[in-house]
Amino acid sequence: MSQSHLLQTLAAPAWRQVGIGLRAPHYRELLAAEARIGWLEVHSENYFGAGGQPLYFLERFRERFPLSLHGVGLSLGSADPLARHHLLRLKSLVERFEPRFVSDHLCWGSVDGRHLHDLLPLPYTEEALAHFCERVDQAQEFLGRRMLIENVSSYVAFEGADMHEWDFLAAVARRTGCGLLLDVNNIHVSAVNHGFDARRYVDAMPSEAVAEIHLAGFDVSGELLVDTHGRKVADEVWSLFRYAIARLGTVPTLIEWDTDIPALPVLLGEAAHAAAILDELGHGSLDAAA
Amino acid sequence: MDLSTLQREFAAALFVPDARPPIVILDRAPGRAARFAVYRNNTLTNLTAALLDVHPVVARLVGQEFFNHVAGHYAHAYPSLSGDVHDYGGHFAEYLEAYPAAAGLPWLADVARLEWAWHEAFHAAAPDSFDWSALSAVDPDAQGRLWFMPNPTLRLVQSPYPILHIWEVNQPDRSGDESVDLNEGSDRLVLVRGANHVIAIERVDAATYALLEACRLGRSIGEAVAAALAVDPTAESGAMLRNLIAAGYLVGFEGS
Repeated sequence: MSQSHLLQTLAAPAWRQVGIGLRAPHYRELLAAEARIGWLEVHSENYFGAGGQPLYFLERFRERFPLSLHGVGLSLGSADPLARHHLLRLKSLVERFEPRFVSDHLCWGSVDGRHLHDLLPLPYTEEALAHFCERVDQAQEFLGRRMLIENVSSYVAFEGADMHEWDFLAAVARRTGCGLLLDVNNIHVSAVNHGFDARRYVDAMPSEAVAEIHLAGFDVSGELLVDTHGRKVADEVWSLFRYAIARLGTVPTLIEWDTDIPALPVLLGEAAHAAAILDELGHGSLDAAA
Repeated sequence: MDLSTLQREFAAALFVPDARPPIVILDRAPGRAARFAVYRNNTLTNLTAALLDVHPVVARLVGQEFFNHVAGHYAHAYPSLSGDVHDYGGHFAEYLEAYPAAAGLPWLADVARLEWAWHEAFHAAAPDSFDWSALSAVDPDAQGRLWFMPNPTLRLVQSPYPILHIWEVNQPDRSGDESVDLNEGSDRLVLVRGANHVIAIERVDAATYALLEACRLGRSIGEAVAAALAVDPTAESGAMLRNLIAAGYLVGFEGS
């Protein structure tokens, strides 16, 4: 990176660090708008088709915004062999769109070739850790680049799995060299569901590995919180985000909203809220700009 | 319990509504069953939503409650075999065809076929444009041995029922008369995606349908024309071919 480019990066205002998850209902409005959005992220699998309107729109957005690819279907934690056709489709998207980040989840989603289409939690054991790391190594090698791994919301824990999720995730980053996508909402949801201190999770994150943060909304179902990505970010999650930023410094942050998708201004309002917090608390790159 | 066994037990219990949750799940408040139920619900909701996304007309025809019910059975009967949920649902039409509770709606499976064809056309690769000068360079006597390439977005659907009319009156922007006379007759439909990404659906005659179907099956153009003439001996094959190329149904050839 040249000196002048570096300075431009350092001087970027906080809103440049905040992105939104791009969803089809907002395509036309967002292309027409002069939105203060720093970057966009899409679900990789929504663009796995060979052609047509989704890829057409993604090309248009890529001309205007930095883009990240966020996968929901690689099933990195499954005992199944890694799906080569899935990796091939992902790789062709990566080559075509040159994303800023490529991510998937700390989860499993298929058994004996059957895909369950949910982000299912792993048992946090040494066996699962070794397996998951091997798979991240394979995927990173295949793609020829570093991936980010994201923590999921979970509702169950398993017998005989004594490792803390945060230690498991930190070990994945250490062993594979992958980056981490810290979903602050998921930390909160899991903390309530399993009764741990969400701040302890944030404290355990290797700050040099955390490359991205996700924020989203959850629903309440009886005694459990359920991650639906269908609401505004909750106050408790904003507090945890502030805690994370104070500790980690400025991290590119994304607002995700996948069900009951709201009007674009609602999403942009959430993004502005995140940018204000980065502006107030962020350090590192933003410090240098001050 | 090893990872592979845990995942098998977890998945096996997901699709059986009354199955007990795997005992490897810790039984902490609010209880193993309540915790596992979140995953059971998520999985079914996600798969049903994917099916609904592709089959909104089927859902409108049978109502949301019936659709959810059949989607649940389908999820059990036809596992998703891809991590990309857009690949899910390709057997829904044949499942509906044999679904006892839908026996009174004999056209429903063909409407599902039309919706799946639309979905495939929407995501298919874009075509090249036809190279007429390359064709004219081929010795006319050798042209019958060429393979004509259908537009990659082209899909064919036929039904003894007027499924296009059924599909049209169930579009979200449609207003007015929603009645369809099932005696209107059969449909032979060609779907193809235009440059504006809109899927055009056209009714074609039996000879044209037979020719396109033969091309899709990889027959040479000579064999495809023979198939068309077998259906309609009066068909004028040269004009038919020119029209199909002009319409963007056939977009190239190989084998010269």
